Amino acid sequence: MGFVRKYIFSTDHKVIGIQYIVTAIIMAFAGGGLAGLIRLQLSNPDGAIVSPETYLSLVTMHGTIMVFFVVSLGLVSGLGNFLIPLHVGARDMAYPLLNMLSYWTVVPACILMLLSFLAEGGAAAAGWTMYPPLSAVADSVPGSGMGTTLWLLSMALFIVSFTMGSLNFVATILNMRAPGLSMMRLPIVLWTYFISSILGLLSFPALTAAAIMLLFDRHLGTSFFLPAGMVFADHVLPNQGGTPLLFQHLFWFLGHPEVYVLVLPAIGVAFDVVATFTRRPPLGYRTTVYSLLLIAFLSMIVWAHHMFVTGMDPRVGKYFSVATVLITAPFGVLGVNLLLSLWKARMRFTVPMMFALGLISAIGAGGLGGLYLGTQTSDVYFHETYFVVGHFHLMIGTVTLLGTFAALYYWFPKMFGRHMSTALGKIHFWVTYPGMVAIFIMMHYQGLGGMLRRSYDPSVYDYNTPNLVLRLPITVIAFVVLAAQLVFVWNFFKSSIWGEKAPANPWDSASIEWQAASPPPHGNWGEAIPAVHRWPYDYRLPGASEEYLPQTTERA
Amino acid sequence: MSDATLQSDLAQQERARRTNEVTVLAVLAVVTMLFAAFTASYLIRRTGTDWGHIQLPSLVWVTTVVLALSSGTLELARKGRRGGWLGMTLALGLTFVVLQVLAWQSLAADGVFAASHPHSAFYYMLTGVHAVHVIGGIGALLVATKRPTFVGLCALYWHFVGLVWVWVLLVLKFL
Repeated sequence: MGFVRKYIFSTDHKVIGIQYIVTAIIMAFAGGGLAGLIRLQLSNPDGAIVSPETYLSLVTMHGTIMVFFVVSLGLVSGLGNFLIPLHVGARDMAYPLLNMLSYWTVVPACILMLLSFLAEGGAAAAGWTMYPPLSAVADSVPGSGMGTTLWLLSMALFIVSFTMGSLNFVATILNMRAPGLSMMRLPIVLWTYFISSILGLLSFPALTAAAIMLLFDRHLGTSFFLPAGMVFADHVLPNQGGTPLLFQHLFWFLGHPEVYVLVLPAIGVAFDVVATFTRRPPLGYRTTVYSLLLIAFLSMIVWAHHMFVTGMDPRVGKYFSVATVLITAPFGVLGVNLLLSLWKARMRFTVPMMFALGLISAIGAGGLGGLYLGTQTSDVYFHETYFVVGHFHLMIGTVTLLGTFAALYYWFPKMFGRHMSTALGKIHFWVTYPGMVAIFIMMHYQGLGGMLRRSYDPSVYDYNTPNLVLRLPITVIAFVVLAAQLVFVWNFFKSSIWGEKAPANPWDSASIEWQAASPPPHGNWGEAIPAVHRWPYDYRLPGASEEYLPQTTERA
Repeated sequence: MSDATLQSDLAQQERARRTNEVTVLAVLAVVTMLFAAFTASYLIRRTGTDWGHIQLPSLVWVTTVVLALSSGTLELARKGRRGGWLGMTLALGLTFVVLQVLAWQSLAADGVFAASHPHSAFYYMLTGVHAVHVIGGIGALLVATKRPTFVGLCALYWHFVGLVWVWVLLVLKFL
């Protein structure tokens, strides 16, 4: 096999997985750099670093890149690709060619998204939610011209790619499992990938529909989302009868499940990492799986809690409040199962374990904030404030990134046959975890004080003066945390070449992927597909001769 | 070939068939959600004060018949009479797309464009998105001419896209 076939246009799920992860790291430089610029603008005591229009572009692009091109690509597509065939004992994905196609569809999506910074008027500026009328009328803000067109094209490619990827994940998990591997013998992390793929498949079409209608409004002059009497640039628009709220409903029909698409795999990673390093099964396997299914179902019928301030009928709002708060029940089960899995455990404090523990605490902190936002009455106060910014950064920022890091440190020896540096990993953890939690908890406080979340210069309001105390500490910590990510990137690339050699099963894990060679060869398993005889958590079985029994060990 | 390898070959073929079936069903779920989102949007938009129906071009009744016929010929192809009937299905599918374009042209000739009216906007959009799915089906049929095992899967998708067309037409005509 030539270099190009092996490393560039590869159909091997492991190579594609690593390609996704590296792409996500590259996009993270853009997303993180934008976060830095945003913080610089917000903590600048006098005047502007960027113009207000540019600031809107920064916020929009930071959100879009982080949600779709960093966390989705790295945690879901990247690690999913690497892990799923290994975890089900298959030689590759169900459709290797489709898999390659989905990666090479997302590459132009990334390029188009980054190119939109060069567009006339700058990048898209209507928020990562792309609400009309700002996004539908080209001359509403400078970024709504070419910048938004490029944003829409990029997202169209992303959706196509993500749909192809999810189809592959679902088909592989349902039909490519090794003999003896029933669904109830899958590790929890694989359940989370399975459920999040289904969620993605069922929810992205709503955004596709919204984007098509938005393109019609932008380029064919229709009025799906534009009401009568809108005035832009001194002229009245001819549109009439449309409703911008329709777009919000469609967007959040995707947007809310998308949160779970990202968060559930991170939680799954925590379950599996915790099992390996506490040397015992996670508490409540079945209740966890059923809770995950229930969470997935509920996540599809609560979207309008993102829209309490749109003036919806209070009875509708009441329904969305109650349904949202209902999610606490299955989510509480997950939390309790994770916590009790740690109860009186003899833990091995490895780097992936530290990130998993940090993740569990971040779910708790983020989840509590969610209660205030899911409740209609309190959300009306909090919605336009930094409380929301702090909350969602704890959940889809901190939880997902800590989960990605836990997974990368944990499965790195399988990817490259080498260890990452533990010392650098600990530095990375002890800056990233406390730093991120501090930043976003402080934002909660600013939100309680009423600081507006989309404001370009928070110092213009007198009432906001007490909140300004926190803006410099947040910015300073943000830059320290950003710098710590460079340590991670260095550790990742350096260790992949020069890292200490790792054995095939360095963590003494029972689950099946560690039975392959490190790194696994093309086809993963050599001569024969392994037969599976047990679930992935047989640690310290009473009467067993070994401390742990791999999934391939026959039953006595 | 020994019995054991023959057995495992058959098992692999059976697995591949089931995998493809799951995937096609998942694709149908995606398409269902897409048109459900459009239908929901239609129901919301029709409450606007400027709502009203345009006269649907009469060609859509011809295209409905063409699409129904194509489902019939594909069934015949699936029932083992592959050769000619598959080609006939392809021809009918292409005819459908061409007639849809002619229907757009007849509307445009009457001065009804996407921006003219909220109902015409939905007409152009829904028929356009549906036509894209038919073109996807034509691509799949082309693959099936080379790979006979795909004919059944194509039929599943093709009949479904036919049902979506009936749904689109019912929405546009009666809602």
